[in-house]
Amino acid sequence: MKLSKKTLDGNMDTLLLALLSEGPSYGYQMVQDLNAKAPGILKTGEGTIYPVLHRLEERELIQSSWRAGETGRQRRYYRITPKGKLALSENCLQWAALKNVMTTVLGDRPVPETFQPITRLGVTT
Amino acid sequence: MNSILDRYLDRVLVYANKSAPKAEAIRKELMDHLLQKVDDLTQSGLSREEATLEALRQHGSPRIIGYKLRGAFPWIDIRAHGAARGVIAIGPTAVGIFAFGRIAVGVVACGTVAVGLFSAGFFAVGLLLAWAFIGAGGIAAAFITIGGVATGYWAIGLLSNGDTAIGAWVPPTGHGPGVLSHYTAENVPPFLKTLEPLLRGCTYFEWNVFAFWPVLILTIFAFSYLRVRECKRVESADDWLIEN
Repeated sequence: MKLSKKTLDGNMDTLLLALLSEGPSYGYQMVQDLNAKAPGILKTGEGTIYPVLHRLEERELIQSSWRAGETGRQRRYYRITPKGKLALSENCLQWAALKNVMTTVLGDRPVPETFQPITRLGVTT
Repeated sequence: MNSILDRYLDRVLVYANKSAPKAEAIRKELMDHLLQKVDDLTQSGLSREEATLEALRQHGSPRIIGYKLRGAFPWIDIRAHGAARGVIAIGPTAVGIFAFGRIAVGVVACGTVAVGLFSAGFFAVGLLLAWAFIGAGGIAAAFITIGGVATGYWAIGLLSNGDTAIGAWVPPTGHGPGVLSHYTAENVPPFLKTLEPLLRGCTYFEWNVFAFWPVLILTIFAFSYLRVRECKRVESADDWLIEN
């Protein structure tokens, strides 16, 4: 099942911080990693990762530097900052708390195998 | 094939509207991504041409990426498409502290449909003040108006004034044939009486001429000029740039 944009919007920062906590990386590599772990997560396009990265850099949660990649082209590498690590820890705590609440409330409720959104006209698509 | 990538990046950067050094850095970064993607797709068996087109398809809409690159809530956000969000927001739809658009939502909102604390437009809803053709608000001045204090040609309000006015208290300044007031001058509650100066000698049309029209017209001209300039900038960058 594809995650909705609304669900993803608040969590893309955390996903990218988590990837960068494993080591410095660059945009294309992070897209590959995300697609490998969660196929289709960047459904509005691979390029949408860059605005998120730039925003994280503005907030000083990550830092970037240019250096030559394997191809010889200049490549922008990102790495997580101490402030970013702290933010990641806080986000992980928040996520764990939310997961706990959801698990407690939803319990063993069966999850439908397929999701059929209901349109405004009440017709499933 | 790189010219196609360049053209795609031109489009991203037109929408991103960054300073030259920042735009150059973004171009370099995205170009590296796209070239790497093309290389990988070529290695997987696609022709260079197919790989380029597929890389662009997977990269996403230039407009979406470009606008996202603008940042979350800048001081000024002027857009030719979609919803502008910023301290000053100007676009087809605008959300901001000062918002101007066909649909405007803000502290100060001005547009065809305007919603805000202070709003002006064809249809306006203002929590404190609304000025419009059809308006509603705390103090509303409109041709057709509903408000706590309402002044207009047709006005309904707690305190109202107009050619056709209906209200809890319609002071004698209302001159029309359709005046319907719950209270009379003898029994009007003091709190309504204290609001009267807001209306005294001040019909909707007088508000038009002496207070709101010049301000509104200047504001509309200024914001419209900025929006038109942005549309021209986007269009002039590439004649097939305007996307549906």
